[in-house]
Amino acid sequence: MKLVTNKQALVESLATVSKAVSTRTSIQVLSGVLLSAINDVVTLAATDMEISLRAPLSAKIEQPGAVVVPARIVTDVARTLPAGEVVIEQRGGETQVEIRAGESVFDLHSLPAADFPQLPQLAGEEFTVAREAFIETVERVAPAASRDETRPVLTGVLMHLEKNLVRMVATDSYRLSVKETPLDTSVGKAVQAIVPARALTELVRIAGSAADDRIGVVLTENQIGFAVGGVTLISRLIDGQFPNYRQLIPESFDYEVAVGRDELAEAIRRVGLLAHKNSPLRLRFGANMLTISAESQDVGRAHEVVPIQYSGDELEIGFNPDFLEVGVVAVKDSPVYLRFISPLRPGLVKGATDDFLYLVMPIRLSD
Amino acid sequence: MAVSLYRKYRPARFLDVIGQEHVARTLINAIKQDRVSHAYLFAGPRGTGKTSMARILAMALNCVQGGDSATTEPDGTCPRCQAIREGTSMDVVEMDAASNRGIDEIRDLRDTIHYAPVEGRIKVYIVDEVHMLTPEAFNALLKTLEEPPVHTVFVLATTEPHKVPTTIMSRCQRFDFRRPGVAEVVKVLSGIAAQEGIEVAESSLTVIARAAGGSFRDAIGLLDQLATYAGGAITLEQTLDLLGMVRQDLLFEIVDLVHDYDTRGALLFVERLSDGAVDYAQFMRELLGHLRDLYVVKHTERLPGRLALPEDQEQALLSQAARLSTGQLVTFIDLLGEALRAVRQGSEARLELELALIKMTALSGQEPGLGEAVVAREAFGPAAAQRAAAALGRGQDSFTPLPAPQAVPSVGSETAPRTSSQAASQPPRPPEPAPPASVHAAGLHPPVGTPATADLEHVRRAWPLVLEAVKKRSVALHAVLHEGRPESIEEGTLVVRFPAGYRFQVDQVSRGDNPRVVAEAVKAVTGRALAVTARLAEEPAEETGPEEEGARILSKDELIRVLKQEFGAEIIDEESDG
Amino acid sequence: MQSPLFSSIVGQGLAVAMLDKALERGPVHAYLLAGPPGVGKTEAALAFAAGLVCPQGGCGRCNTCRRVQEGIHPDVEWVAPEGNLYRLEEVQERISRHVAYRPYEADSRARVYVITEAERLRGAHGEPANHLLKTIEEPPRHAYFLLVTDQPQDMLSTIVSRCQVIEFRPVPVPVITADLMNRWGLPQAEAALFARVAEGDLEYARELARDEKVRHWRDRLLDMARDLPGAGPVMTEAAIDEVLAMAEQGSEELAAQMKEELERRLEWASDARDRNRLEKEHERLLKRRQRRLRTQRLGMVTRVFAGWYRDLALAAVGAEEAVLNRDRLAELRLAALPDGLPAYLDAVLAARRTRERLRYNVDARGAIGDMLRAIKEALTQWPLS
Repeated sequence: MKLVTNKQALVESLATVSKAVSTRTSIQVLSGVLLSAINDVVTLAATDMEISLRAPLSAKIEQPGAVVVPARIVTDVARTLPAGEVVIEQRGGETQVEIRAGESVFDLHSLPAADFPQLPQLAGEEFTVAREAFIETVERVAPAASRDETRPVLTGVLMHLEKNLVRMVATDSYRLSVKETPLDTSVGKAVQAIVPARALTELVRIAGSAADDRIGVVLTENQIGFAVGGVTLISRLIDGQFPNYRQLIPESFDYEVAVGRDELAEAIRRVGLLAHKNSPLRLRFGANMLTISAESQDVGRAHEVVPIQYSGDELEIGFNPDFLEVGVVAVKDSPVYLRFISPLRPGLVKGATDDFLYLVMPIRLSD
Repeated sequence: MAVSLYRKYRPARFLDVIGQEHVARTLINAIKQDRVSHAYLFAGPRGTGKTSMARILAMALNCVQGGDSATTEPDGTCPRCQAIREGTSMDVVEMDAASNRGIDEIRDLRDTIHYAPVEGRIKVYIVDEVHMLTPEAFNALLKTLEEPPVHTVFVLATTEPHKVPTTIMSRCQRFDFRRPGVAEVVKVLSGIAAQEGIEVAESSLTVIARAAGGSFRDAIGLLDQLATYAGGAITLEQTLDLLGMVRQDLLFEIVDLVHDYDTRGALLFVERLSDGAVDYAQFMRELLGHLRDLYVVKHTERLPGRLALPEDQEQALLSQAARLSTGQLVTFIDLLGEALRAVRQGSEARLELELALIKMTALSGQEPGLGEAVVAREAFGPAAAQRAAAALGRGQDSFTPLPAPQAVPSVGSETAPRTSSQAASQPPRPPEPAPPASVHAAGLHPPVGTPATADLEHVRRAWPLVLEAVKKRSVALHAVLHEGRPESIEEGTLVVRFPAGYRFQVDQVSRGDNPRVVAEAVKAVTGRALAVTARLAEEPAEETGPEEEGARILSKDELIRVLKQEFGAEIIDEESDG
Repeated sequence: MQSPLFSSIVGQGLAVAMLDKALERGPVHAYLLAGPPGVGKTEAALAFAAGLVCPQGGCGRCNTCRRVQEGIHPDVEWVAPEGNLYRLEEVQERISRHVAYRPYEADSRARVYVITEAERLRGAHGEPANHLLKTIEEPPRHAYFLLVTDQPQDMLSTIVSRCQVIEFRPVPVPVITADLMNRWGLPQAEAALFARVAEGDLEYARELARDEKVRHWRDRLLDMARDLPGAGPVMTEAAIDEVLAMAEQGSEELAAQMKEELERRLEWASDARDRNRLEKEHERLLKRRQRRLRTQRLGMVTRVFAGWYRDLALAAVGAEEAVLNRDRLAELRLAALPDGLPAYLDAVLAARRTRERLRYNVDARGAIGDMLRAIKEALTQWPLS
């Protein structure tokens, strides 16, 4: 294998893929970057077994081939090389890879490309989605995903594709968020997949600075791939039955209140300081008045009144302040609509027109 | 790829849990009368349906069919039931106490129970192997059980209920799941076989059910495995083959060799076995079974119904039984039982089999009783005692309290750490001169005024450690002693009680130097100076689970008792040929 | 037709047939491969894993099959305890954390966890094993567990009950003989001798066949066993020294070899923390491998001693055909006394006890010393009239 590239391109490509290099693996080849120059295309690839990243490297191929080089050393070397042309070469039969730039020559140990995990060649349902809308959806939905690994399904975000929509759902069984985003094209038949929240967060990072205004998505049996700005991110899917979210959202509510978004969010944040696990944040809806209060045995108590338009029965309901706040903040415009059935049934947080829903479980009030 | 049959046929209705109708009916009645408890304890051996029953209860409490209340007939198909069956329901939390033993995990759980159920009516917490919780975690759990929120039900499941604190127990309604009988297991197996289109004879199913030792899961797993292996119809031969069953003629042959005291022949027999892929341990277990059959036949002179042998084998069994003396049979059963025990502790099966055969044929010789003498001598002889002492790296008579229980792999080591810390907290005693042979030496009496009941409790808790200490000195003594249980302390003497029929064990423990060996172990572990005596209980022994049956030594008395129970046999003249 | 993956596994007809049929007709999710050491369990586990993952169901030829069998396939997780026993955290990290993730490679049909030394899942309080119960019973559909053990009696019964048990048996003597002749080109007489001495342990037989050092040790140990009754204290001490030196042999070579590997790995480490981790991992692994090697060697010591006195017992009752150490028949005949039988049994028992003790990692010098003293005592104190 022999190829010619330049320092800047090499540094940038390495920086992109190095996010996926394994830092705690017992398989040596996973701490490497796969450099492949095949079919007139040069790509770099790395994987930590959960996600894989592949990025192009602009280079001229003088002799095709592929090899795995140590990620950290190559990255360090590339950074310190003099600017300009870089030649990377592995001569037939040798295990060393030579990197030359200006007067500097590095000979690095390498591993055969055949030992590197085969990056999935994704062939499956393909569609594209607007980059910004997709990023926004992830940012609003993903925070409700669980961090508890004993129920792996809930650590992922459900992506449900139907007609020309992608619906994303996340829940940790105490709250649930749902958001829809239009697709550019329609999908044939409805499909769904559970994508690790971490992969989506990583995608947002990459896509955030990408020049494309579209993200390509490929879904297969075991993986999902995203392509943006030439970079491909592939993630393993989580297996299992995602809770039937439609079942969880009550069909009708008995109470509805509109509250100013920022006002509500700030009041929750302030009063919430005095709430804790067993004594939740209390929301009392009275005539044109929402009283938010909390009491902590060892610290003290707090309350705050927010004016609202309300004339129904009085209702008191308890919530975890953090969970409630996440939902309120995720609504993009004011006012926020809060809907309830009873103090023991889930409450709903949503905007006026938005296609975002946030369901949050109440905490039983002790008196 | 295939879902295991056990998962596929996990029961979905209360009365589908075979063998546990008593539990099912009580739960159904509770639901009917709207008196479902907030906490249940499901106790019973593995594979008897505890988790299945807990899930059915969760379905009953949440099924859509019930409208606003629980139903006795969950449909198993509504979205909520489906989610519970698949383990994906957000209102049913299944956790295993073994890997969430600590107080933090239980506190986390406590913090989440205040959230209302997401989709159903009731949140159900199923805590598996609950006996594994630490004492602190149990305390935290107790607080939760004392004031459970109205929308929660706890199901605590355990295979070892005796390790669950009484404080927890008293907050729960307890159900004991029983081991199903062979017939019940066969019934379930044939039901599954019919539905799956597996062709299999009942004789094969009986063999499977026996091998599974009363666990539905094990039995269905074996059926699954056989169905895959056989492809088409399952033959009895394949069943025996898979289970490593031994050809009957080999069992007859080896017993004949032993009967003739043909040491050489017996050893060459073992040598011949090594030409095939034989599992010696399995061979020994089956040989033990064969010897028991012989014993039964010898004393009843007819075949117990369960054997159901072909005519020629029946004849062979009867005539072999007639040739052997009772003494020879009992000695052989004893020796083989002991060999199997050594195998279970990691010794090589072939070597153990050979040793047993040599003892049986060459050392018990034509003089009955010598075999036993050899067993006794090898364990209790002075050379052995010295060796054991040397192995402990200490002086002649010192027992050291055991090191951390890590070296002693046992599931039930829960009590050990506590006890060893108690033992360690005893002030070290100055070395005493070797006590005289008499067990009742004055110096061994407990100090006046020590309440005997407290002592007894202490000794009982420490008993597993005492057993381990004895084992260091003599494996054989340990083997017999572990059948007994500290019963009382009477005037400075610890009485170890053995179940009725354990005459052999009592004799062994009482013989020679043994009481002193035990007394020293008791003292080393607990710090209490007590004499030791063994006593036989009058009531019959507790029933032993099938798992143990394979290798437990049956004493002659016990065998006769079993015969009487199982076959209503009349023992006309038990000593006539002994 | 049997999958070519199993072609190199010798003398495990039933076990291989079970695994092969499972591949053909649909495997369940958990298997326990149980049987004595050295009979091919691990090899079979990898072959079976390849069959589960391979897109062609176990062709034995593709890159997937190759990488699985070399232990570098990303969809086959090789799990071994870091310390003496598995720890809960280790099992969570290696297994539960990503068991729900679908396979890594696009054409992998499964993800397989090969759990070696499965009896050590007991951990200190049974946590690791109990933690796995639910996972093993109701795993995601792509996940398979192959538990491997040579101490099935030490396993939690609740784990065993959730696995299909594939029993491996001692390899029949004629099969080992044929293997040694065909694979290692041994003459028939020698092959038959080693096959017999190994008592079904194929690995030990192969070691004897290809390693002159091992053959030499066996000879030395047999000499010691033979001469023990007449040996004075000085000689006995010398014997202990020699035995322990034997047990340590190869330990340093192993360390050097692994050090080299570590250096290579360190070059690839991502940062100081990773390097630190690799070094620690290396240390643990080295210790573990050294201990293993030592245990194996010491196992050979008790085995040869037990074998010699067993043979004496057999010779004493005239069952010479069943003697293991055929090459020493003349000496055995000379030494065996019919009245010595009880003493020989005592000696065998002493070797057996020592073996058990050594399993728990006790002071080897003490254990071997005790064994030699116990045997000597048995042989000399017993009235050999």
